[in-house]
Amino acid sequence: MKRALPATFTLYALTTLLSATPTALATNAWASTFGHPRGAEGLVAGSAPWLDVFLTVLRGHGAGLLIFAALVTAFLVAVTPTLSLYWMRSVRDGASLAALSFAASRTLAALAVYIVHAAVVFVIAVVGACAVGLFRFGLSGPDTRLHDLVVLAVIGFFALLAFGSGALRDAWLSSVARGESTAQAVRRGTRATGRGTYFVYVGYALLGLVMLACASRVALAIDSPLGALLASQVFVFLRFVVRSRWLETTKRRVDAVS
Amino acid sequence: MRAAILTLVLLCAVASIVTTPAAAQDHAYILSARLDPDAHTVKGTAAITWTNQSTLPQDHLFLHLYLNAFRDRESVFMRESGGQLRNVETTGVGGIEITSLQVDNHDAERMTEGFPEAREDDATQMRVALSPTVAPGARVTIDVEWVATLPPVFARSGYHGDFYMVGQWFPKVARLEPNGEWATFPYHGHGEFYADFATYDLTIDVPEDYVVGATGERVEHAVSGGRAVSRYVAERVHDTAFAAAPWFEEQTARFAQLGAEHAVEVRCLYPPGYDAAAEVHVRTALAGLAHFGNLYGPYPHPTLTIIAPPRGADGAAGMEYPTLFTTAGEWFPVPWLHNAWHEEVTAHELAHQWFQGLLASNEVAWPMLDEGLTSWATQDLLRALYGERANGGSLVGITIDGFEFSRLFALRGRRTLPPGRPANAFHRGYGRSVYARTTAILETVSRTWGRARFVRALGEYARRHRFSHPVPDDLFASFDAAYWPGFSSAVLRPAMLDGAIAAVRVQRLDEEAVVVERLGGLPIPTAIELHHDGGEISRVSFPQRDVRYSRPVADPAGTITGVEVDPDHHGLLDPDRADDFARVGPAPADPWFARLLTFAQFVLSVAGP
Ligand SMILES: [Zn+2]
Repeated sequence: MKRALPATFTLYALTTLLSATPTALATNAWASTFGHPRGAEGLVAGSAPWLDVFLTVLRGHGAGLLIFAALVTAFLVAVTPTLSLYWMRSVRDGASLAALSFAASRTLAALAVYIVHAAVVFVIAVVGACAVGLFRFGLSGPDTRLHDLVVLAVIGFFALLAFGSGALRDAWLSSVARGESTAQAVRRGTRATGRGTYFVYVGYALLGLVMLACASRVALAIDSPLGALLASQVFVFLRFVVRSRWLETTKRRVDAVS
Repeated sequence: MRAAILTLVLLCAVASIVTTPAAAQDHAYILSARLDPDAHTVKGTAAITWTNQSTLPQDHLFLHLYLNAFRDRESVFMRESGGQLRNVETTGVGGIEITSLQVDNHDAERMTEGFPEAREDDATQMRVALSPTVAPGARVTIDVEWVATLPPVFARSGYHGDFYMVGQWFPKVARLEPNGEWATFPYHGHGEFYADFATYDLTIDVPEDYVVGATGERVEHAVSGGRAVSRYVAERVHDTAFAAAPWFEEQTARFAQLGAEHAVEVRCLYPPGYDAAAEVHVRTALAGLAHFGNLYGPYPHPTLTIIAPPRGADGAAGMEYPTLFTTAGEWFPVPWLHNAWHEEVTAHELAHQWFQGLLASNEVAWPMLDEGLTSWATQDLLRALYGERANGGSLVGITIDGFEFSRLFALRGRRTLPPGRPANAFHRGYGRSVYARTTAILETVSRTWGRARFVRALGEYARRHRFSHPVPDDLFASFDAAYWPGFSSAVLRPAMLDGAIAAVRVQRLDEEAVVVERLGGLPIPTAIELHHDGGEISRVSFPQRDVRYSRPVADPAGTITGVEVDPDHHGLLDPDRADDFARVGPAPADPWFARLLTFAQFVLSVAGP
C-alpha cells in the first residue's frame, strides 16, 4: 500500500482539482446571482426560497455550468484508462515517474481494456432490459406484487452483474500493467477472477461509496467552511485508499495465475 | 343563562344547516343496470321524474349522453383532450345507444337542432320535445331504455380486464336554471358536472362473483341464477356511478361526527395485494371526514365508497362521484411523499364530496369553485395530517411545502388564463391555473390574514350553499362578510378573474438606501426584515396601501446590510422569491463549496479511475 501511496494521492488530487473547478463556478454563480446566505440555508430548511434561487441560478448560469461540467467529465473519462494503468503500475513497482511513462506508452492497451469492459456492461444491460421487458409473469390478474418483486430482483441481479464486472476490468488492467498485450491480459485477468472475486470487488466498491457518503454527511454537519472542507476531504481520500487496497489484491491474484 | 341561550342559538343554526331544503323530490331517477362482462356493455333502463323548477314553461329538455364522447375521435371531448387524459391514450370506442324514449308514456321526438354549443359529430347531448309544454312547477316522467357500450378505460369510464368503472353511463337531464335557460353543454375535455340534486334509486345486476361499489346505500341484495342483484338508494345527489370486479377486496370503517345526520360507513374496494394502500386510503378518508366535516359541515350521506383501481386502469383513477370516488396509487404506499398518489388523491377526491358533491356549482362555467377549492382543501388536509409546511412530503428531515409547489407550478413559465375562466376556455394550463393558482391565491389570503378567518369564510360559504348550485359571487360574499366589505373586489376578484399577482422585490440596496417595491397590483400586506451590521435583525411592516418602501441604510441599530421581504413566506402569488432579498458587502463564507465539492467528487468517482 505504501508503494502506491504517492500515485493514490496524485489521483486523489487530480480528480479533486477537476471536481473543484465546476463546483467553484457553481458556488460563484450562486453568490453572484444573489449573495445572501439565506438561500443556502433554505437548502436544508426545505421550504422556499431554495427552489426559486436554484431556478434563478439555473436560468442565469445553467447552460454554461452544464457545458463546463460535461467537458470536465469528458476529459476525465478520456484520461481514465491511462490514469488507471498508472495507478496499477504504481501498485506493482511504486516508481511513480517510471509508472507514468509506462502508462503513457501503453495507453492504447488500457483503452482497449476499457472498451471491452464497456461492451460487456452494454451486453449485460441489453440482456437485462430484454429480460425485464419480456417478463409478463404474474401480470394476468390484478395482484401484481409477485411480478413487481421478481422484476426488482431481476433488475438487481443484472445491476450487480454490471457493477461487479469492474472486477474483470481491473484484473485485465493489472495484467496490462505486467506488460502483457491486451489479448493476453484479458485471458490472464479473466482466469484470475473467480466468482468470489466479484463479491470482494463489490465489497470494496461499496466501502468506497460509504466513504463518499461520510464525506457528504460531515460536510453537511460542519458549519465552518474550512472545517467542512478538511473533514470531508479526509473521507474522500480514504475512498482512494480503499480502492488502492483493492488494486493490490487484484495484483496478487493476477500474479498468482501461472 | 346567556350561555344556554347562545348554545340554543348555535343548535338552531346547526339544525337549519342540516335541514336545508333540497327539493330533491322534484327530481328522481329509478335506474337499472345489467352488466354484461363479455360484451362490455351495460343494459340500462330509467324512469326519470323531472320537474320544471324554472319560471318559464318548457317545450323541450336536454339529455346528456356523455358516454357518446367515446363513440369516435370527432366528439368534442376527443378533440379537446386529443384522445388522451393524463397521458392515458384511448384504445377503443364506447357510447350510449337509446332503444326507447318516452315522455309521459308517449314516444318522444328527438330533436336534432337547437343545441347550445352544437357541433357536428358530437352526440353527447340530445334535445327532447315536450308536448304539451311543461308549465313551471309541473313534472313529467321520462322512460328510457338504452345500451351503454363501455370503452377500454382511458378517461374515467370503461373497463380494464374484468374491472369496470361505470360512470356517465345513463341519460341524464341537464340542469334548467331558475330563469328558464338550460345549462347544457357537450362533454368537454375539462369539467363535466352540473346537474340537479335528485333521488337516485339504482338496481345493479352483475354476474354473481362480481363485487360492486356504487353511489348510495345498499338496501337490497339477492343472488339467483348466477346473477347478483343489488339496489342502491342515494338522496340529494346529482349523479350515480358504480364499479365492479370479481376480485375486489374490502376494508371498512365507521365514522361518526357530532351534529351529522348519520354515521358513515366507509368502504374501500381494492385489488388483491393492495391492503397496505387501502389502509392509507381509509385512514386518510376518516381523517378527512372529520377535518372537512368540522370546517365545511358534516358529510351528510350514510356511505362513502373508495375504489382503488388496478394497475392499467389509470384512466379511471382519481375521479369523484357523489358518495363514491376512485383513488390512485400502487400496492405499496410511499410514506414520505404525501403530495402524490395515495394520500393526495384520496384527500382530493374526498374534498370533492363537498366542493362538487354538496356545492354543486357549474363545473364547466366555474371550475375554480370545484377543482380550485378542492385543491386548496386537499393541501389543507395534508397539512393537518403531516404538519405545517410538510404537506408535500418529508424525508430525512427535509420537508416539502406543497403550497410552494402550487405557487411555482402556477406562476413559473408560460402564462395561463386566470382560474376564474370557464373550463372550455383552457387549451393548456388548466391544471396550473384552476388547481394550482387557485390554491396559491387562497393560501396567500389564509397566511396573510390568518387561517382561522379564512376557514370561517370558506366554511360559511360551504355550509350556506350545500345542496345548492353556488356561483362565484356566493363565494365572494362569504369572504366579504368574514373580512371586510369590498375585500373580494380588492383581492379575490382581481386574483381569480383577472389574474392579478402580488410580487414583491428588493429594488435597491446599496451604501445609501434600501428600496422595496410591490408589483402585480394585489394589495397584500407583508413584512420586511432588516439586517443591521451589528447582527441585529428588525422588522417593519409594508402596508397593503403602499407600493414602495424606502429608507436610508443609516440606522441607530446599525447600518442596514441586508433586507428580506416577506420573510415568513406568506405570499404565494410571487413568481420569484429569489429577488425578495439582497445584501451589501461580501457574503459571509459558507460551507457550501465543501458540500457541493463532495457531490462533484461522487459524480467523478463514477467516471474516473
Ligand atoms: Zn378534482
